[in-house]
Amino acid sequence: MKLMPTVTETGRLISILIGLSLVLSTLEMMIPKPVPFFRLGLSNLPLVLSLRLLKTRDIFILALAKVFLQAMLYGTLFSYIFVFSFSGTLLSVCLMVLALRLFKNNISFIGISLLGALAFNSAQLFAAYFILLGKSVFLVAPFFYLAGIVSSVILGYVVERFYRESQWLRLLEAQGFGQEVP
Amino acid sequence: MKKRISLKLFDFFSFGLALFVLLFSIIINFSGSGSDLTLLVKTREADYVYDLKENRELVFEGPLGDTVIEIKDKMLRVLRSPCPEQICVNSGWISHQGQWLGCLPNQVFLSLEGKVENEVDAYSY
Repeated sequence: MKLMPTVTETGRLISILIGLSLVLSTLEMMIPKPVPFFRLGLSNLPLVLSLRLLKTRDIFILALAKVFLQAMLYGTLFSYIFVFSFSGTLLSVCLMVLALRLFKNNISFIGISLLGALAFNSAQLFAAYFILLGKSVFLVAPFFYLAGIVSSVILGYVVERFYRESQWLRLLEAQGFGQEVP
Repeated sequence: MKKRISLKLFDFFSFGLALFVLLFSIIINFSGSGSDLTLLVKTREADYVYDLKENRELVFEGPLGDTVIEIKDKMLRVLRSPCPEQICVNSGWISHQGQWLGCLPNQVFLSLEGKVENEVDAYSY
């Protein structure tokens, strides 16, 4: 049984995920950061979830929309923060998509999310190395990676639970989303 | 309906990769940096440059007499000075780029200079 979601349905799902991502990132802004750069990364939850729901092209649309809309909301579009978030998101999405296509069902969202965080942090470190801080970024790298690892495992666990238990996702699957991992 | 969440094969692969990246990032912090600091000494007569790699004592002559400095474990202090107030001796050890010790009465000035700035002393976000 091969059921393909229609264009309208796909568009709707992408919009919902973008909206969810923006709401979550706004929620996260309210939580004070104990350490600079330590974020839970809640806004990446829809993005990680979409990896098993959408086609590769649509995942990238979602990622780009998230980055640009977030930057517009917080007024960081023309600042160096945007370079960090853009490069980080793009690299991590590439790696996560690749990992999922390669390992298929032999990897859970926890592993995927962890790989994404590693890519995200690496991209940000190198962006910071080239534009902002120079060699001294590598002094914060261990803390940076550790924060990313911890938060991404938590996030991956949440997504995995959601993916297994959500009734909404069963409905989407009935519409044909995530039937084949292309 | 609850299913147990079990980790799959490539989850462990990504955990391994994460551990490797973490360790790697720790290791590059502790390797290769060494101490590139140079000690710049200014006295009444001349200026001298030393490195901090060797443990040793050096003597510099000023108008009051001999100022003896000690280099040990990449740190530096004034061991003995003929000056009346002994401020330079009581300043203790210095070891970071940009730090300095001075003895004004005996006209000896010691400062640590470096090539690359590789330390973050404050961070703003």
